[in-house]
Amino acid sequence: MTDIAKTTLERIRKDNHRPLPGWSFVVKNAATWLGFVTLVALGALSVSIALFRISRHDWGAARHLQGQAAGYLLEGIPLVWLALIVGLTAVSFLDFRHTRTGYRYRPFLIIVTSILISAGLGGVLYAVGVGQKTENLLSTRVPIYRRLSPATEAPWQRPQQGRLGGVVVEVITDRHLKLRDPMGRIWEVTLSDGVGLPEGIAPDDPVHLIGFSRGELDFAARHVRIWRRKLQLNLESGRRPPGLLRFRHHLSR
Amino acid sequence: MSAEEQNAGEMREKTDEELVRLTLEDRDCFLYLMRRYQAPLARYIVRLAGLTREDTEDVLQESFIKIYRNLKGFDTSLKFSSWAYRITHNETMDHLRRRRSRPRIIETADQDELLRRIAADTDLETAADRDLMIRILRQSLARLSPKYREVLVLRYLEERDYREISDILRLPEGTVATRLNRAKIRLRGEYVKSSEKGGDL
Repeated sequence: MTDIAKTTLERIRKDNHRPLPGWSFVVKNAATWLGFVTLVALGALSVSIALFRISRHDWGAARHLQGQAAGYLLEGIPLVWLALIVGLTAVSFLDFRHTRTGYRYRPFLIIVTSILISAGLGGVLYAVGVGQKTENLLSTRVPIYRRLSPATEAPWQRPQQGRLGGVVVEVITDRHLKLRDPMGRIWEVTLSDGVGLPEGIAPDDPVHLIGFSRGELDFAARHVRIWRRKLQLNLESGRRPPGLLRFRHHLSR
Repeated sequence: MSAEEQNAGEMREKTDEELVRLTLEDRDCFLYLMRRYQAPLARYIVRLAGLTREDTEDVLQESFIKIYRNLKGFDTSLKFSSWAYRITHNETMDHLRRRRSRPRIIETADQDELLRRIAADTDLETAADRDLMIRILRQSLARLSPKYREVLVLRYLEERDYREISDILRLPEGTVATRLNRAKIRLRGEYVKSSEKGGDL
């Protein structure tokens, strides 16, 4: 065999090869770590938005939606964000494997750790209202986002499917009220026989109605749900509701 | 004894890490590091991919240049040998990819040694005829995918421990252990299949 050592050294001299500068390795390693941190942070932001959207879904209404419950429940799952969380976790795993010693850790451990950090940090971001702010920002500034991920109140803007949401404008009688939907239209709402209004219902209460549309801006309700009024009242009276409900971001959008 | 021979003698006593440090000060010291590794790395390339002598020399030269250019990035938490093997491994695999060819198993004395060691560690029912067993094993090994063959080569021929294999292949040690077990199971399966058709070997 040729003396490879000798011929290689000659080639190194001839081609004037030099060791790459030490800082280039430091920068490369730092960039890989920065990438990992960024991906986990984006994962956390996605978790906070997903939590926000989940918290904004009126899950309890499903039991009153005969024949539509499955579809309605599915609408409450933030699929876009869950898919993004899965994607970011996968990319962060690949990125971590490229850190200097990342390959020494079991993939399961890296993935679970990445998910736990994103979930923990995402929970904190959700709690301080970052999820809500980002969701609002995206839905107002990014048109494609509204198509991909309709507003959390969208399932209640379908009177033809028997679902209507809005804010009480006026309680006329114990069987009639006026409601303003998010588009600003005023609806006449009549309760079906045997259906009563929730106790203490008052103007400005956000409500979800289940029933059927009887015509232009005329809705017959067989079930009326006050949506998060308790929270609103608690905040108005200066008291803090328990647990996660204490955060004001529950009130918007 | 000439000054050059004396110098070479001194260099032989230095550790890899000391030679790396010296190379960074004086390029010519890299010669001693290459001399130390040229035979083992060339053998490894042949064991891994069964390249021709010319190709092996090409791959080895490219590997040494890569090692030299990346010397400042050498992670001292690794053994230098693991790092050098890793670069050579990657260079060999890149060479195969460029050529779009699969690793070949070539018949060498140390391949037989590999096969004997694997046979001993794989609880194979060895054929009475030792040559026949080696032939069957060689065919079985050739049918294994590269990812299984490389762990067998590193473990049984290069005699690397799990940590070193982990550093060379950039895999967790647990994965190395699993892959090695699977490689042995697959090899045993291939061996049994080939043994049953033993007549046409």
